[in-house]
Amino acid sequence: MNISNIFSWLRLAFKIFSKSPTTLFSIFIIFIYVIASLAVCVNLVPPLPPAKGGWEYIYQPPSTREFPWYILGTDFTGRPLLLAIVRGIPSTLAIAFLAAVITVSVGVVLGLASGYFGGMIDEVISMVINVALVIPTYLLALILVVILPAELKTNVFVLAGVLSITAWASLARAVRAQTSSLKRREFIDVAKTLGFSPWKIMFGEILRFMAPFIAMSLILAMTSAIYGYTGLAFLGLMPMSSENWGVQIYMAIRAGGALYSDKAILALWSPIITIVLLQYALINIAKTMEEIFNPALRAGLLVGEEE
Amino acid sequence: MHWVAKKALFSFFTWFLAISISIIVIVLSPGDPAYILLTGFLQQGMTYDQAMKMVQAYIGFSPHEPWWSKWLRYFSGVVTGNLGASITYRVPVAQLIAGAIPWSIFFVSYSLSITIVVGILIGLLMAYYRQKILFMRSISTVLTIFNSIPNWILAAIFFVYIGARWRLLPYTGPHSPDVQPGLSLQFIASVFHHYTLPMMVMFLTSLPGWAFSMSAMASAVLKDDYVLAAKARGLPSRRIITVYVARNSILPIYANIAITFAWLLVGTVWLESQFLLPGLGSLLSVTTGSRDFPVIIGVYVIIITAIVLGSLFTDLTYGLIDPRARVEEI
Repeated sequence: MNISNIFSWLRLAFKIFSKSPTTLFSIFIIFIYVIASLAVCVNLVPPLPPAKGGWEYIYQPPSTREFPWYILGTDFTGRPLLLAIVRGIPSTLAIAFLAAVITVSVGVVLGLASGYFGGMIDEVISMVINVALVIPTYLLALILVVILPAELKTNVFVLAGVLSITAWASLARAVRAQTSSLKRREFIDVAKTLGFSPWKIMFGEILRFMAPFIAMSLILAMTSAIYGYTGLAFLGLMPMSSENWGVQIYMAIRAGGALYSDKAILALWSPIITIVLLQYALINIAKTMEEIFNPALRAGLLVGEEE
Repeated sequence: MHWVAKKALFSFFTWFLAISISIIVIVLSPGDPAYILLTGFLQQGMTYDQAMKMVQAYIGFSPHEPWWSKWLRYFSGVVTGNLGASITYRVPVAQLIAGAIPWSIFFVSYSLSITIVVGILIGLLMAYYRQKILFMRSISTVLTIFNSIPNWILAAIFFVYIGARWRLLPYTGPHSPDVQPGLSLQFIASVFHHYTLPMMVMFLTSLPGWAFSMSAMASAVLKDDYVLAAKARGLPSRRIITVYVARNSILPIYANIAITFAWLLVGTVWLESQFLLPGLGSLLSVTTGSRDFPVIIGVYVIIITAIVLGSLFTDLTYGLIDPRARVEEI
């Protein structure tokens, strides 16, 4: 890809992004989440105060004390709710990103090897992919979360591994299909004749064609991991930490009496909005990327100026 | 070999590997269920020999065997229909599961049938009016919003508001407590009424997927030559969309019903437990609380079996619709 080519891609991307206000909104949302995680990581955000049990401390109404952290009141541990939600951003994003990286790496490596080498290697890897396809990730993750000891459940790497355990299967299948069609193209024959190693051809030449698709898969894999991480917490299977948004929703319904009183209403809606905004922004960006890289879909979006 | 036999054999092999690998992963992970059960029984004050016998009786293998022997014992149980016994309910797991399956099948079929009809209609509309940018953008924004709400969050919101607070629809239990279960019209009406809210959750969260794939399929068909020819012949657009586009784009979507059905069973873990409905999902979420491993693993095995059967059914349907799929590599 040369400079002018990249430039025209960027211009097209800018055109699509700016013509679609929802995409701009999504980018803005992701920007806020990233800024918040950075703020937590460089200690701009105070640490969570110790939990205070007792009915007078939990689910307090909003107050301007220690502005702005008590503006949403307190949560089920008597800690400031806004602070707990903000401090949950980096761990959630880290788990989601790690799980997505594992999903995409395993999927891409298996798919490439299977599609490129063919033969015996393809047979074996295809079998592995087919088996992983019928094992629902959330179900196996649920069982593993139940049997794993508590100290492993709080480990970011273990959680990311559990949440991506069979999630790579559909990506591997798609990459395999694309690779086996791409490898029949002429430029691969040229690369082979020039003496490129199979690894260089796979990761240098073939992968480049799939880069947009893989970037999109990475974002969608993040949304699945966030779904699993908060969803398993909502079933009460994760350690009862203030920083998991799923736990906050679970407690607002089970312990905060959100069913009959307005006491825990903020503790119910704040984490819900936090999760849905993040998921919406990620899905929407993935969809816009699909439109940029897939000319067939682009037609509908830019039809006004082509005519 | 006949193509049906070939696909069936392949499915059986996939099923065998999927169950085996899961069981091996579960017994090898730190926190082998047999060990957890053993320590539980020892804490209840049993002698060591007694506790070991109890573990054997409930889950079918003991903590000190090597992994392959645990796998072999459990798997032979699966094949003979013996999934162990539940620790909390003290009945065979197979009996619990048999009681739960009809409810889950009813719940998923009820939701799925409505989702398919509405999803296909919206997908067709989206494909046909793809030039109307305002319409497309608003409908696809609404669908993307529903796509980004996890089903358990929508279940929680509906449970709290439509159910508990506003009391618009029943929100707990599979039927009204005053109705006697049986084949009476009253009972059936009560079940449908009680499943309306859970059905709405499953419908709204799975609608975007159906609508988007239907619209993609129909847009592809709209570009086909015979549709162009039909337009050139001046056929009315309603006839083009019903006869030419809908029929040819619904078939490939239709074949996916079986596999989607099986995957929706996974979602019942959240929905059935939220609305206190009987079924596979609520069985799983209740028994995770009490760490009733024979039931947890039993439900898991059943759901994987359903997914494998669903994919096999999908493959066979594809083969019937499109002869090319019979010879295609699997």
